[in-house]
Amino acid sequence: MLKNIFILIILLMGTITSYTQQVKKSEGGNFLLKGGTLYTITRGVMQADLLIKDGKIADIGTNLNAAGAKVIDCTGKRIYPGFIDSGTRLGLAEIGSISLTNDYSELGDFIPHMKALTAVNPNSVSIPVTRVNGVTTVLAKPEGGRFPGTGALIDLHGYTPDQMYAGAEAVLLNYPSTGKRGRWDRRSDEDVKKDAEKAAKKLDDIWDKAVLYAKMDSTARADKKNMDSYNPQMDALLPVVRGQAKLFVEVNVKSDIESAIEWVKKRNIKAVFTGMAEGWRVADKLAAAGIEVITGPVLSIPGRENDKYDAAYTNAAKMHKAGVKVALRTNDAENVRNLPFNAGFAATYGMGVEEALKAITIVPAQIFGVADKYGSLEKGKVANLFIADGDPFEMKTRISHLFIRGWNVPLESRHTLLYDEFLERSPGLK
Amino acid sequence: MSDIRILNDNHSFSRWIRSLLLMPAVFLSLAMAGQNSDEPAELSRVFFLKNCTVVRQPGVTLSGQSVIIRNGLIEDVGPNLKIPFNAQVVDTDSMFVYAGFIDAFSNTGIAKPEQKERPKVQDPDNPPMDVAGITPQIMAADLYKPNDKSVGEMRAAGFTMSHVAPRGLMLPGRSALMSLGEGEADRMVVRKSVAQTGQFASTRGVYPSTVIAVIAKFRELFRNAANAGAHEELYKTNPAGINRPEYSKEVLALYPLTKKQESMYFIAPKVKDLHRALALRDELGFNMILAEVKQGWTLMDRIQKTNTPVLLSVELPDEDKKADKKDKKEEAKPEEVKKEEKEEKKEKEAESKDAKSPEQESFDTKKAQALKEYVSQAAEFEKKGIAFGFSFLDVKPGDIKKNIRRMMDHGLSEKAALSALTTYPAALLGVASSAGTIEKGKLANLVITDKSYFDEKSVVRYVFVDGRKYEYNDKAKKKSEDTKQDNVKSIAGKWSYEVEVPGQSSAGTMRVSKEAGNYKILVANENEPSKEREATDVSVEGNKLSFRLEVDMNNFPLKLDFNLTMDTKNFSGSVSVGQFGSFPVKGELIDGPDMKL
Amino acid sequence: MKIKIFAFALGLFLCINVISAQTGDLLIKNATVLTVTKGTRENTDIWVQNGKISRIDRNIPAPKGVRVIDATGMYVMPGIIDAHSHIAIDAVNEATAPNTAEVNVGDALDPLDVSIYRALAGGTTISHAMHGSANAIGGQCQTIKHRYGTTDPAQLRMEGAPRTIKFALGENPMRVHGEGNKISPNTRMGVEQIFRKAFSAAQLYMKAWDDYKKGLTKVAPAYNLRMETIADILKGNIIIHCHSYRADEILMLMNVLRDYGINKICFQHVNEGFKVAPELAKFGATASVFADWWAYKFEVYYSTAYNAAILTRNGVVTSINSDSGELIRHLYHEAAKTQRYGDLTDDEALALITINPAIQLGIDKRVGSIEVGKDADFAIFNNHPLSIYAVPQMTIVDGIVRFDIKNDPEDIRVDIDPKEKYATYYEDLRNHEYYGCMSGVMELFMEESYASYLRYIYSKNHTH
Repeated sequence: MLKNIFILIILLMGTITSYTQQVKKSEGGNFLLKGGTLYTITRGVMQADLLIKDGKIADIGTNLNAAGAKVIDCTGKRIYPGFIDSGTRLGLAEIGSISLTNDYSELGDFIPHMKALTAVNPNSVSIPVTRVNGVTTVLAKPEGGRFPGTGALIDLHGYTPDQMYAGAEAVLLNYPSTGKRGRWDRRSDEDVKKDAEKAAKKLDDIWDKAVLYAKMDSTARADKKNMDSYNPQMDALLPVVRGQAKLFVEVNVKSDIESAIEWVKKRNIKAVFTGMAEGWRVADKLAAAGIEVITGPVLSIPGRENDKYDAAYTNAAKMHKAGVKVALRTNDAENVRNLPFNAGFAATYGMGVEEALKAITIVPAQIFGVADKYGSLEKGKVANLFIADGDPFEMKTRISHLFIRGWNVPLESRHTLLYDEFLERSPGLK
Repeated sequence: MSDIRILNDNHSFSRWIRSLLLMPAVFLSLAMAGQNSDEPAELSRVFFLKNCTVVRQPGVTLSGQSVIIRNGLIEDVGPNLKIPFNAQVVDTDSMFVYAGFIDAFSNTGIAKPEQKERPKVQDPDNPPMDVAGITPQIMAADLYKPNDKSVGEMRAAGFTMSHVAPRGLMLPGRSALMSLGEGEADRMVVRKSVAQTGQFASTRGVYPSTVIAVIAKFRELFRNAANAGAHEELYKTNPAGINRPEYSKEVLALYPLTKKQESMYFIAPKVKDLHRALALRDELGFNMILAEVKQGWTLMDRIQKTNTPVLLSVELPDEDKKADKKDKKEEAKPEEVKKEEKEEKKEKEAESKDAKSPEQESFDTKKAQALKEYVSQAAEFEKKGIAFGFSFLDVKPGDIKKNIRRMMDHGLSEKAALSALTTYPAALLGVASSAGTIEKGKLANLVITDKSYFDEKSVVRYVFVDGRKYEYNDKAKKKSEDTKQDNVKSIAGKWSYEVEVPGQSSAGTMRVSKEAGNYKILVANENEPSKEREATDVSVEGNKLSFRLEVDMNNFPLKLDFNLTMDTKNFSGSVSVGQFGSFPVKGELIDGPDMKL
Repeated sequence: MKIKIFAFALGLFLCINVISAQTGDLLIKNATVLTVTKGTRENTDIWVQNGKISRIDRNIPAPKGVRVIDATGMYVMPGIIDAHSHIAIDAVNEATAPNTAEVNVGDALDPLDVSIYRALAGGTTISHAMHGSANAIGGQCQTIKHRYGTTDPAQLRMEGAPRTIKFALGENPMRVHGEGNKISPNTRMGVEQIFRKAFSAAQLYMKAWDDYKKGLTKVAPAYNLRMETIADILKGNIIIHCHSYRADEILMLMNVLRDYGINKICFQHVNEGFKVAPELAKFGATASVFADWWAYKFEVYYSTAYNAAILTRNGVVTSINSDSGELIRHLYHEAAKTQRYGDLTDDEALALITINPAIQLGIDKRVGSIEVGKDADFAIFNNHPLSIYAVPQMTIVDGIVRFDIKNDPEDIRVDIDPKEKYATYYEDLRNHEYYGCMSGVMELFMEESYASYLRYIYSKNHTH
């Protein structure tokens, strides 16, 4: 215990010292990105200037009136909208093995009222590390339990969670699973099924109650009465029950996906399915049911021993080809920076570059209901974008500038700082 | 006694109970014949087996034969023998007489060790030898219990001698060849010390805890045993200037192995075990017999080239349930059949609704192929010209014939099967001159069946062990049918459990009792046997037992949900821990009220 | 349909048989050959005889009866080598003592592991199957060739590869033995003394045997396999591969080795290697690192993805490893990350997964580059392997095609459990956070509390 406290103290000191170093700050104001190639996502690829003003993309075109704007020469460069990772623990996790630095798993099975935004640490060392690869926005989400909580879409810039909040939340459900939990889970198939059935029944009970609660709540509001109990869990489900918000259902195994399709249909729930490791097995059913999907990481081991080696690589492409709307995620914390590479693998294994780009820009924006502000280079949208010297999926490509809400964010992180300091150490050997 | 009734409505369960019933009934009848002192003394030790078909040795079957048994030996065999005046004539008309089967390797008569409180090991690197599983000095002959249930079961299956090994881990001890008669253990010894036994089994939490450490330990022990033996011999010759040898009994026990004066039976079921065992043998250079081989077909060349004696396991993976069902249907009652058909129909509907994907086709094809390989192993060895015996570590005695028949269905010849049961083990165990065939002067170890033993419907009617007669009446089956309606089973008693987690496992005990109509379950881990935790939510349905254990781990409440399928003497199932995972758990009845049937 | 599938399965069966019978003769035609050590050669052929590269040239006439692989438009690179993995072994950690030098994961090779095929499908032909990091001196490791299809563990062994052993510094041995068993080491100070004690004891042990061999003593000393192994390290017969993270502990081990005259050392993970790159270079130590893993524990919190680049630029022979059944499938991609994080050239980046790990494993005379006389281990890609759009097309080990994307069967398992149910899906456990949530569970089952939990954790592959 003493040791843990000691580690904590060291940790705290570490954080403080690293921030007392000379740090480049973000630069505000108006910017004119001149002469670049815009990969707008929604309107094709075009040669045009882009004006950033008041945190928004004020204009796209030639001969823009850019009085007072700092001009950045983008000749020969490409400009992309900031990438969106649709599922991470970024901001909620700091050091994997030290549980007290991690805030994504609250105790309890039915805790949809646990809000990720509350625990997002704007100063997580992982955030600047993530930005350097063009990721500007992520869903930070809790994990564990049947209803692990409510995730928050955040921009990777800002000093308070509220500053970072990108206007969307996601109530999460872990759908009861018939998948085995690793190789040592040698429950009989019967037992696995029984456990899942038990869990499904419990889920149904919860949902029945949630529906009833919504009715009671509506009546109470109409009659201007107070509900006579404090029920934050049920309150958190209200928007989903009322069809005002989507339910993000984590489900991976084929048979579970099929059952989940039936369940959300029966319950009349607007659902997004996440995880979806075996989405490719039921791609047609998903398309027919009009279910939106968030899948990833693409760089994963297949779920079954007899699966083909590339089952995870090709998963997104197969669902997309069947007509499913697919967004990608890393499901990571410190290495969310690998999002473009995950998209690159999806592109390579059947999805194609254009669609893979969409899967980390406009598609997640649509899924989270913020496509009016995010996900493409369009006039009026939030100025989340970056400038690169080539294809951002390629490892060789370098990103030179990154803007979040119009702030020119320095591409500096612990990783680059250590590089600068240690590439040529002084003193060296002496 | 607190009992629960099990409704006999589940098909597979009824099968289970049926096979269960066969055993004790047989056992009871024997117990009465053999041990009841109220019965008159034996009149003579002379028997005359009249007009039977004698399988003298594998491949040599003669009908119209008689056999004279006198004082434990075969006095004569042949046609037209004269009945000795003092002989008890056994009505073996049209029956088949075989040399008593020899079990070439098993744990018959060796009781499972009692659950002891594990000694607290201070330094996990240096546990006591027995905790580490190194007990080569132990003699199976000293542990053998002639009245152990398994002895009666093997005898009822036609076996008259068992080569028994101690139970244990990497080096369980020395095996012994035992006669499967009744009487004091010492009198049952045919060969007190046959060989060392070994396997890649490790203990938990202390060295060696993995297969790599077990192999390293083998190497070190082997080398040290050789040195120790040499040192002792040197010291005996001339102790001047030489330190007094101080070696443990464990190390010294391995010296004969290093000098090839002793062999080692190595339990190596799967393909990787086999390769590892042979590699170890090749490296250290000792005599090895492979035992309980289940997946040996890919190593036949290696086994053949090195003339390695091999014992194939008689345990086989089950056939697919559907195939099984069809077989059973003939025996089942009409209403059962109807019910099954309904179920099957449902299954079929479910299947057609969800037609097999090419992937599943491929999966099923490969699985069927794999099953075939396991069942065809013996036939493949025969085809390859490798002689082999059988070992019986994992198989239930009641399944032995069924499984050998399955091997024969896949190409094993009757001759090779019989040789694996008689002449091969007799030669391997050095008793070929006294056992394994039916010849004048050999031990009167015989098994007599109503039809050819290898006939599906054959029944063992008599077994002679050292000229002592054990009679089995075929009413046993009928009896079991009668009692079937009255299945009452108890799960009360003290059970051991073992939870398996990767790389580790944990064990303890579970006490089940019934109080005021409710089951009470107390669970304790082996490391803290006195700290029992009481289970909640206990539910018993048929042979399914489930309960919950709530534990507070450093202020973190955890719920462990156990789902167990109870058998008479053991159970299996899983324990799930919330979202964290689920782990297989199994256990055995250590001490409890006998099952009521 | 059924017949077709059966024929397919049969075909697969035969194909595996054929593989082990193949002589390993090939002609690869018209490829862009990335030799790694001798530049890139366009439109070039490679002739393979008996599993060895016999000629690299343009327009080599096709010898009669030899399989010709048309690699027009393709890139051929040396088979990828992973200097740190735990695939294809049945035991990873003998976590019962701080020093278990005598155990050898080579004794527990698992040729049936489908991870081998998955690695092949990512161009990886050789991996270093390692003991885990629970002990300061862990077990010996085994360099394996990915000859998937065999059931004989010995077939995986790369014959002639030098012996290697796993050491481990820092948190893992401290937690397992100090926190867990209350047996030193509990600190990095204690870890140092494990090595000093082992080496000194082995020196005495060697002397005792020397005395016996010289006839000075009449009775052989007690044979101790642990000491024998340490003695072999002292004699320079075993290369040390040391799990390490922090700069201070890296320096500590180099000091210890210097004191005992040992110089064959490759630091594994070595996340803070960049801080002591000049010292590593001077010692002649090599480094095998992750492309970008960090922050999963405290000792890797001050890491940088530029580690490989800094080490390379400072003259340290560096490789990128997987330590994972997932990453081993795309080490070419991991290597390419050094181009984003540190601007390595193509050849430098490729060297990280070919010739450099070969040097670290002592097999660089045999593999790691495309040169005449070397083993015919290749990975063939449709695009440059450092591009995100590269897809491995074919992987060749000893001149034998072990992976071919055009002939990739539905189900590649070698060993099928006849009892296994169809459709067992295993949840991706990375989402379940072993470290956090398993602890309570394991403690509960074990009741030996932390020790067993840690032994459990380190018996898994999660040893990094």
